[in-house]
Amino acid sequence: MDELLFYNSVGDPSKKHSTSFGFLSSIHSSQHIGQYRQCYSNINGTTLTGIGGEHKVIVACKGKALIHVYLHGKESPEQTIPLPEEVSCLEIFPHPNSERSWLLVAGAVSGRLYVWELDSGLLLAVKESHYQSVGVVKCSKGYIVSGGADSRIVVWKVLDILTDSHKPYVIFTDHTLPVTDITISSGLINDIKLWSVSADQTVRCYDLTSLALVTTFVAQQPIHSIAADPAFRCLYIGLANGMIRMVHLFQASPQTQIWEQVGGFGKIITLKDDIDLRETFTNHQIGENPVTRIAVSFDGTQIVTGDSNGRVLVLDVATKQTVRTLKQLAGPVSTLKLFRMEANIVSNSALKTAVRTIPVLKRSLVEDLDLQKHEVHRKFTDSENSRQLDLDNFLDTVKSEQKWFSNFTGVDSSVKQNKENLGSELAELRESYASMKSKYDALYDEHSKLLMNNK
Amino acid sequence: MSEECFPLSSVLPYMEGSKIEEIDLGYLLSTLARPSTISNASKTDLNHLCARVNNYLSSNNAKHRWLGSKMAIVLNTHIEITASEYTSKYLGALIRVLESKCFVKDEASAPVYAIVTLESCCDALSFIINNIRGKHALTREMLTPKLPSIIGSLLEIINLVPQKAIDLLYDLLKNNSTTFRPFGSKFERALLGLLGSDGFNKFEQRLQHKILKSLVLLSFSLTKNSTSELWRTKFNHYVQETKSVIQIYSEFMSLDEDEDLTQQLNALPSVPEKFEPQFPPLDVDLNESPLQIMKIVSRVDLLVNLLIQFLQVPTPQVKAPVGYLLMIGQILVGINHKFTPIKRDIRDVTLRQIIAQSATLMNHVGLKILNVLPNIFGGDLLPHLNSVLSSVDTLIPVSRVNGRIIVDEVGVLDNPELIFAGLKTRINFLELVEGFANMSLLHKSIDAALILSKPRIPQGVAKTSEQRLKNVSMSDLLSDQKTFITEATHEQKNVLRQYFKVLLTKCVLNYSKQSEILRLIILDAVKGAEVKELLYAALLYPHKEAHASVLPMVKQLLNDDELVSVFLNPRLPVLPTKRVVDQALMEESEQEREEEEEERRVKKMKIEEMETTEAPAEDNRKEDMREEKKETLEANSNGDVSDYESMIFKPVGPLVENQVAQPSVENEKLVEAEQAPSTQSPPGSPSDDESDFEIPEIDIDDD
Repeated sequence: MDELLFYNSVGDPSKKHSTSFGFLSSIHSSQHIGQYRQCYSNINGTTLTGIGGEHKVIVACKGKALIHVYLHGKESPEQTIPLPEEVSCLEIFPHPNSERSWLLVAGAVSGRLYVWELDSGLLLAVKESHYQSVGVVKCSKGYIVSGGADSRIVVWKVLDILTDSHKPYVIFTDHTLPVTDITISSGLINDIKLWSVSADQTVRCYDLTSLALVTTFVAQQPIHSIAADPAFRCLYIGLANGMIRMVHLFQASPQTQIWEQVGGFGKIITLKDDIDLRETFTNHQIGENPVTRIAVSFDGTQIVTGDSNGRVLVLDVATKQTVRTLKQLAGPVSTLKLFRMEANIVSNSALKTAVRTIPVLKRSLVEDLDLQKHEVHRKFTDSENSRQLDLDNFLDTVKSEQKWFSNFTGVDSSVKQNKENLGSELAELRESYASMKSKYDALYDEHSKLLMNNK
Repeated sequence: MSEECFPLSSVLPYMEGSKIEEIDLGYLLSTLARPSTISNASKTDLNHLCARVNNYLSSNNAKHRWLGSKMAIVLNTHIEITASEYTSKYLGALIRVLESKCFVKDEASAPVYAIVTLESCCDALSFIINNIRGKHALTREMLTPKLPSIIGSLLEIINLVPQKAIDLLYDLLKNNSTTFRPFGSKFERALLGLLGSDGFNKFEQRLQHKILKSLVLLSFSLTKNSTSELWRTKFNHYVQETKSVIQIYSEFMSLDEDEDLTQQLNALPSVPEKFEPQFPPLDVDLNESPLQIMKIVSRVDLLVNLLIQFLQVPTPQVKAPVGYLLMIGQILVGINHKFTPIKRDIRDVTLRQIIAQSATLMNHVGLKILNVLPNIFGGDLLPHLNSVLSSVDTLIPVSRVNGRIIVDEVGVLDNPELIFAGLKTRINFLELVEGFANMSLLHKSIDAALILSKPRIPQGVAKTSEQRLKNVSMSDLLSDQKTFITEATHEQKNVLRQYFKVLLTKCVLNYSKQSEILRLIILDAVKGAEVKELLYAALLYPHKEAHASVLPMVKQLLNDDELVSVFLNPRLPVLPTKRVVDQALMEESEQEREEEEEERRVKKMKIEEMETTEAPAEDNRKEDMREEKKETLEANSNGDVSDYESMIFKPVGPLVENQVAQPSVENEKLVEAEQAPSTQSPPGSPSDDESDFEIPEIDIDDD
C-alpha cells in the first residue's frame, strides 16, 4: 500500500502560469507519479474524483471563470469548461453509499454556491450563500458547509438544496474575520461536528445536531488551515507565522487523572504559548510563511503541510521532524489531497477506453423540462463475474447428474447374452435342424418319387 | 517424487471405455483436481491422461461424453494442461458433441441424459473459455480460431438447453463482439423465437432475464461505430413502445382525470405515426374474454424488463434518460381505478373488476422499475425523490373517518403484496438520504407497516363463511383460535424490519411514531426475533425528545453484544504520544505491552550490539516515572471509581438544560465526557480551562 499526494498551488501569474504545476507523488517513497500543467487554483479550489483509471482532477483556475479537467497520466488539461463566474473553492460530494462522485459543489467569488450533478452536468442549484467570496466548501453526510470571507459559515442540507429550498439549515456567525478553512467529521449523523478556523485567531467547534457552538480555541496568530487526526483525537492548525499547532481534543484532568474531552458547553480555551514546542511544528517557520494547507496521513502519524511559499513537507507527528521535502510549487500551496492506493495501480498512461471527459457543466440553472428527461452519462457494467471452480459444489453436481446415467431400480431390462449358453443352444439348434432336414429330405424324396410314379 | 502425491499411473488403466465405472468418479475427479497429481506426473502419463479424456469426449457413448466433459473441466484447472495442445482438442471434441446434439432425434422429447450431457459440455466449454480469456497468446492460438464453430454449435442447441447455451452465448457476445458479428441476426432470431413462444412466461426468472439481457446487448453492441448512439436509439424506441402500450389503457380508463399522470405521459417521447414496434401488435378483444387484458400487462412487464436490462449490460458511456424511467414507473404506479376511474361505458361488472385488478398488476410492474433504479443511479435520483415517494404513497388505501384521512386497515390487509413492494421501493430510495424530514410522505406507509406487522385473527369467518361454503365444523375456530392466527411471512417481516431500520436511521420521525416503532421492535426482540440491527439502530439514533433510554432493554436483549459493551464502557480515543491512564485495566494492558516492547527492544539491542551507556539510564528514568505515576493512580483509583460512577449515573445538572433529565443513550455519552470538568472543579473557576494544558506530560516516545 502506498499513499499518494496530489498537490498544487495558486500559481505564479507573472509568468503566465507556465511554472504552475500540480503534482502527484508518493509521500512514503521518492516515487513521482505525474504532473499537470497550468494546474493552479485558489486555495481549496481543486478537487479530485479519485486516483488512476478514469478519475479526474478538477481545477478551478484562479482569476478566470474556467475549470480545467485533467485525466491522470496526461499533463495538459483534457477539458476546459467555462463557468458563469470565477470559482474560488471546489468540493466533490460522493453518491450515497458509494465512492462514485455525485455533486460538484463550487463556491464563487461573488459568494454564491453552485451545485452541479457530475453525471449529467446539470446545474441543480445556485444559492446566495455569502456576502463575500466563499473560501472553503466541505461536504459530509448530507450536509454542505461553506465558509466565506464574510466570516459566516453556512450549512445546507443536500436534500433541501435539491428540492429548491431557499433557507439554509443553519448559519453560524461567531467568527469576526474571514473563515479560512473547515473540517467536518463523519459517522453517525447525530455526532457530526464541524471545526472552522478563521483569521480572527479562533478555532470553533459546532455540533450540527444541536447547532450549538461547543468549544472555541483561541490561538495567538491568524489561522489559515486546519486538519484533523483521522480518529479526531487532535487537530492541526496552520498559523500565519508558519507554525503548526496541535490542539488535543482529549486530555487527562489534572485533579482526577480521568481522560476527558477538552472543552464543551461553549467553553473558550486559550492556546497558551508552547515554549517547549511539545505541540508545535516549526518546520515552516523560516521566512514566516503562513501554512496554507495541512493533510494527515492514513495512520495519523505523519502530516503533510504546504505554505505560502510553495514548500510542501511531510512531517512526523511524534518527533516533529521533517521526513521528506517534496518538489516546491510556484506560489502558495492551494491543495493537498492524500489517497491511499494499492501499489502500482496508477499507471502513467491513461486507459485507451477510459471516459476522458466529464459532462459539460451547464451555466444556466436546471429547468423542469431538463429534469423530466434528466440524461445521465453513465457507463453501465455487468455485475456478473466469472466463477472459480468450487470443487465441492462441482463434485456434488457431478453426483446429481450421474444419476441420470445410473439404474437404481434393480430391474435390469437389458438383454443378457451368455457365451456358454449360446454355444449349447446353437448345438441344440443345429441338432434339431439336422434331424428336421433329414426328415424333410426323406419326405421330399418320397414326394418326388410319388410324383414321378404318377406321371 | 514425494510420497504424498498421487501416482497417476494407477488410475490410467481404468480410464478406458467402461472400465472407469469400476472406480469412484468423485474420488477420481478430486484426485485429478489436486495440483500435486499433475505437477508430479511424468510426461508420458500426462499425455496418456489427456489422450484418454479426449477419447471419452469423442466417444459415441453418451455417458462417456459426459464423463469426458467433467474430466476436461477438472484437468483445465491446471495451467500445465490448459497451455497444452490438448485444450484445443478438447474444444474441438466439445464442439462436435454440441453439433451432434448428442444424437437427439426428436427435440420435443429429448432424453434427460442427452440434455445433461449437452449442459455439461456447455459448462466445460464455458470453463475452458473463461480460463483462456485474458491470456493473449492462448486466446490467439486456441480460442479465436474455434470461436465461430463454438458460436455456431451453441446456436444449434439453443432450444435444447436454453439456459446454458444463452449464458455462454451472452458471455461470448460480451467479450468477443467482433467474432460474434456474423451470428448476430441468427442469435437474435433464436432469442425472439424463445421470447415469442407461449412458454416464455413459463421460463424461470433467471432465464427470462438472460434472454432479455442478450437481446438488449445484441441490439447495440455489434455495430462497428457509435455504439452509444445506437444504445440510445434502441432505448428510446423501447420507451416509446412502452408508452404506446400503456396508452391502450386510456381506452377503458379515464387516464386524463389524473393531471399528473397525463402530464407525465405527455412528457415521454411521443410515438411517431409510422412507429414500428419491435414486438407484434397486441390482439386484445375484451368481448371475447375479459382476461385478455392481461396480455397488456404482460407486454408492459416484458418491455419494462427489457428497459431494466438496458441498464445492466456493459455499455460504453451512454446518456441514460433517468427521468423517463422514473416517469414510466410513476405512471404505472399511478394507474389506479380510484384516481383514473374505469370508463362508464364499460358496464360489465366482471370486466370492470378485472380491469381494476389488472391496474394493481401494473402497479407492481411500476414498483419493479422504481425498485432497481436506486441501486444503479444513486444520488442522481434525489431531485425526483419527493415525487416518487408521493406517487408510491397513493398505493396505500385510505378511508375518511370523521373528516380525517386514515389508512384503511381492511384495504391494506387485502393486498399486502402491493404494500410490501411499495415498502421495498421506499427502503431503496430512503437508503440514499440522510435526515429525511418530509415525513408527510411517509406517515401512511408507517401506519400500513404497523398494521402489517401485527398478527391477525380472522374476523367474522364464522359469520360469513356459513353462508358461502358448507363447513364441517367451525368449532375449531372457537376452541383452537391460536392456530388460525396469520402472520407476515419471514421475507415480509424482513421487509418490515428493513423499513423500520431505514426510518430510524435515515428519517426524522416524530416522537410518537418512533416510540411506536421502538415498542414493536422490542416486543419482537423479546419474542426472540433476530432484530439485532434494529436494536442497534434504536441505540444509535435516539429521538431528540426521548424521555427514557432504550439502553437497559437493549442490554438485556443483547447481553453479550460487543457494541452494547462499548456503550456501557465508553472509551475515548487515546492519543499517540500521551500516556495518561485512567483505569486499572488499561494500566494492566499497557504494562503488558510495555513489557513486550521491552523484550523486543532488548532483543533488538542484542542483535545490533549497540549498547550505549545513556540508553539504559534513560529507560530507567522513564520506568521510574511510570512507577510513580502508577502509584499515584492506584492511590486514587478506589476513590475515583465511585466518583466516576457517580458522574455517569448522576442526573444531569443545570449545565445541560437543553437535554432532558434522563438522557438518552446518545446524550449519556456526551454527558459523561463533558460533565467531568464541571463536577470535578469548582464552578466558574477561571483556571479550569487553562489547567488542561498544565498537566505534567510523560512522553514515552521521545527517543
